[in-house]
Amino acid sequence: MTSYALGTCWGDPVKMLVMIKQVPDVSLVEIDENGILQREGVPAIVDPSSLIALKMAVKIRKMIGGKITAVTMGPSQAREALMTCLEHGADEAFILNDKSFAGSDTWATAKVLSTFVRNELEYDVIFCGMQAIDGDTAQVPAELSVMLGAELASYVNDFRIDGGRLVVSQNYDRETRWIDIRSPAVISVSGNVLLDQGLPSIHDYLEARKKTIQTRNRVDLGLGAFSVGINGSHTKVVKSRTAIPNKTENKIIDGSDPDTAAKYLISLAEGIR
Amino acid sequence: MIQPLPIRPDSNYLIDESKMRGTAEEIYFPKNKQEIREIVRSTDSENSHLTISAMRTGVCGGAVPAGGKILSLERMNHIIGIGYDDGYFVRVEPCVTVRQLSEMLLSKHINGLTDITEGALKKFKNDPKKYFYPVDPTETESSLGGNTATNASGPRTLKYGPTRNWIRGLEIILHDGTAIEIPRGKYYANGRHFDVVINGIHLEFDVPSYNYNTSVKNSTGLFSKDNMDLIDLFIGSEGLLGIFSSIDVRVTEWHPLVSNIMFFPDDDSALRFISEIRHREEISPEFLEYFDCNSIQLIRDCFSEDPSMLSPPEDAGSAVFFDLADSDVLKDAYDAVIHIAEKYDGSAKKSWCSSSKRDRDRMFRFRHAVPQAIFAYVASLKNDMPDIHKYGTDMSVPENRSKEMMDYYSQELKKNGLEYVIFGHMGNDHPHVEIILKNMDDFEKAKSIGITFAVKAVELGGSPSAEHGIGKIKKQYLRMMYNEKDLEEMRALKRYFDPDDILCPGNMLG
Amino acid sequence: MSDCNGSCSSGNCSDPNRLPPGILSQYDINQDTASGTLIWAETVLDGENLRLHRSVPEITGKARELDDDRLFAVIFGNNDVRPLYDELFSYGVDSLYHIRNRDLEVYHPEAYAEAIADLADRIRPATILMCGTPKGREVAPLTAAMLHTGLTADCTALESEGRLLMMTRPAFGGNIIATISCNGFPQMATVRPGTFGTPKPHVERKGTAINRPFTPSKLKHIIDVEYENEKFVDIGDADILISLGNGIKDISTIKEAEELALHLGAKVSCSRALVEKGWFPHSRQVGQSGRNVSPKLYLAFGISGSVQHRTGVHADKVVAINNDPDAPIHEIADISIIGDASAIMKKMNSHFHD
Repeated sequence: MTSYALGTCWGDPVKMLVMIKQVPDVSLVEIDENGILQREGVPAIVDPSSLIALKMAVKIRKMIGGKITAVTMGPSQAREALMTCLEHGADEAFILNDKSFAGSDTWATAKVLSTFVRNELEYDVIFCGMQAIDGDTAQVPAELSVMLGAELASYVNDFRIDGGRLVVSQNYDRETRWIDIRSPAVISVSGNVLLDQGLPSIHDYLEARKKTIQTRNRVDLGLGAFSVGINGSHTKVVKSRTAIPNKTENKIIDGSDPDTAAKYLISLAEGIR
Repeated sequence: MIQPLPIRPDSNYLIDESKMRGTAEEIYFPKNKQEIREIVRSTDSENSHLTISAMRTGVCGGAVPAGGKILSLERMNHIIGIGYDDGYFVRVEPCVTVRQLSEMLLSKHINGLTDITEGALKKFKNDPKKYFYPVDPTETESSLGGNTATNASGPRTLKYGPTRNWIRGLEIILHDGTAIEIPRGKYYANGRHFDVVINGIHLEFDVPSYNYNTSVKNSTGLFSKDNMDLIDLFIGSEGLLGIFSSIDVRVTEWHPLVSNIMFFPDDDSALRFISEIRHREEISPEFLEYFDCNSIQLIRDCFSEDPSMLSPPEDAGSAVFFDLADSDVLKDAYDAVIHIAEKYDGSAKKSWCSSSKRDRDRMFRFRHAVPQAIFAYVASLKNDMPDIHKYGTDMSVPENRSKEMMDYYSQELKKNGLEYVIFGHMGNDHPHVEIILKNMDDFEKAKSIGITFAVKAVELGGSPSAEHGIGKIKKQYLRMMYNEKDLEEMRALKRYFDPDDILCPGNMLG
Repeated sequence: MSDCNGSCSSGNCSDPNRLPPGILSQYDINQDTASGTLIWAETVLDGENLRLHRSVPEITGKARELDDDRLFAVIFGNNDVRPLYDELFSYGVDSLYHIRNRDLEVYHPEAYAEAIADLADRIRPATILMCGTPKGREVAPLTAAMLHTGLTADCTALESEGRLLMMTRPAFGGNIIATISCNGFPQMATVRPGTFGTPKPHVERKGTAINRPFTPSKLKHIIDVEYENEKFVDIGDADILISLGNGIKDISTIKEAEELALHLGAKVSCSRALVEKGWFPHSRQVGQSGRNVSPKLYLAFGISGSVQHRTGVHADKVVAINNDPDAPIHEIADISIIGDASAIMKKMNSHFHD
């Protein structure tokens, strides 16, 4: 795919993909008195960072037109996540679903996603959320970019369309960079989940149900069993335990009198210095 | 013997959501039924008073003590277990909150719960269907004990009825420490006369002879009717007759819902939309919540700094919030909804809609923003005006008199130069009118206009306290609906169950 | 093979332990030449000065501790970078590769990754470590993908069993602590700043510096770079943290917190909720998707303490100031003060006024 500035090809609507992750709502996960994680019954939601990525695509489409395709690799519950994406503005959706995909690390995930994209989709830009709430490692966008030979822009929190080019702002804590991104590109979108709000309308809800969600499995993608899932991963979990806190003491103090509490805290802090 | 703790004059236990402040000497925190019985007996022997307190989310001062001691049930906040009896029910301690119950039902985390009927827990856990508590009061931090004592309603009362319809059984501690269990369907009056033996205790008394208005949403006065079930006497009794130590609440099958908020250009169009969709069977909304233009503006003004609060579209006037069941006929329901909305200048595009929990929670939060903004506002005035408290109405009228009542509200409020918002359960002809008080002058006007409204509501065949109960601050409403004979009958009943007036002095009748 | 009854790729091989042909060489298992650790010495522009990112010594010290073998480092830049050589040697680096290229004096993630992958192919380390800084967390996965190897990001602990690295990190929103291994070399990991302590430098240690020219295959089109050193506060570098949470209802409390920070010589951090409200930038966030912090004293004002937040707190002493005695923060608090957080903070400040 030749590199060209976004949207400058006449007659080509901009083709945007959004990689969606469905995660368990980790705020609802509990640990029972045996120290066992209660995963069952925890509802799955579209990861908020994936929605932010989708919203950036929707914003671009509003400005220069284009088509948005949502893609997720996940179990069949992921259909609900994709429906939410269709409601929020995606035009079509794909779910990559296969038992053998279970246990994939980020490499294996990127492998499946990139194979699908290479086989079936044309794209100018791929948007991904930066970091999912179940604490994933924000690696898939970078790995995807290498596998596809696309340019990577991480930590994107703003953009402008400049004479047909897409210019993005990247937030590296101490540094903010503006770069002119060329397609094909993978953009990892960061951003304040709540500041960007607004809900779809009844119209969007009904329209979403007219759009298509297609599925693909491993054989459809032409992937070998050793390229996917646990077998296709480079990393694996050797052991795990539920997180237990380690406190040195367990003092409880009545702070109903702010003055006494204040004095106590100050002496504690001054003891540290 | 459980010991009370001292209480400071600025303690939060002396106020409830009405922001009225009371006085008390001491406070008890019983952990179980036994301790409640000890406390009641010792209070009885000392001839002191006990005000029952749970989550203090009430808006009538019901939990605000008028001297004496406070019985805080906050340590009794455990869900005891689940049973099955032609449907599931949950046995809870009185300070379990609505949210706690909902979370347990949704997550099915039943560790530590007991089987109330054999095998119920396993049956519930393995049941592929989901269940929920349909009364669903907007204040999810309210306790089920408090809900039962006030017969609380919520937006879903439109479809499911109030708390009364969902109580299967109560365990009650009486003024002398006696504990009685009353299941629904066991003890009935003969006409208006009760003569029953419960747990070895013989109870014989008359319930009031008046007609308790059940044609509208009503929480004024003690419930009474011919051949009534004894349990219904205690539901809505505002702590006058006994203390709930355990409550059995029924739950019902949950189906996925889609939440919707539709925006309209003005108040009238939203109201017409509501009156048309509420009876349409193909739509069958779970609830119908109304926001007048003033309340939408209030949300804009109070939450502009809070990015997590949904912001109303700029051109939105009023709004209607409703849930639809996600069934096979949902498309038909929406076709009807959109058709009707368009008649009144609404549209499918000028709306919010979602079936995801996260987005629906945001819409519910939006709904709660109106009363929340007002509570916060009044709380901020209390520094300069310590006697001020929230002034809102809670009146219901029959459906065919609804428009008259709405017109009367705006006419009188404008006449008196008062700022106000109107929002709430329009599906039950029970909107809340909240007056935005600016100073003590407004407060005085509000109090007198409140009386005018109450008189009008009763005149139109409705109730002046549809949902909140009477507590300490709405006693004049009681006098509007009932005459002196009726009140004396209620007092007689109170004297029967609590001869020394130990429990919740000042509530309703005092 | 007579017991071969299916194709390798269909997943129905009768021997679950058999690998498809060619796999062994791809994964370089049992290759004796993979040894030693390579770290990326990330640099930071601090006003006019170029220095090492403060977590470079942290990972260098850890690498030294894990493995006696050769410790390699790679650094980008021009002659400005030479003063940093000795510092790196003092922390234990044996061989320092200085990538020389005018274009690469500025950060280009793909080009940096390409250079590091190219170097790794040459020197064949068993392990590559990078700082879990924004740049490290970008370059590391790019490098891993180029090297066809696995990466474990945001490790909170590293242990070695010979050349094999055991990488530990929180998972499932912080509810679980998982230990992960990689099935080939090089094993890659990133570590968030402040996770490991700064080692003692040994100024007498020597090392070798090697210039390595490198031409990247492509570069980014950078339009502008803005450095915000004044605004950026590094909460990883504080003895005392005053941390605010969603229990703080009034935005003016931030000013109180900043004033208190001046009095106590502390810094102000926050939970995710306040970043989402737009009250603080992400760099102040403590937690799984923010920073791991290990101050001597962590004062949690009005923080309810979700699992994701708690996962980021590794303080010597945690004090929770909250009027909810059931808030989960108390599970990690050594001292819990049940009271009004804002009021107590105000009182602390007024104490310094008299």
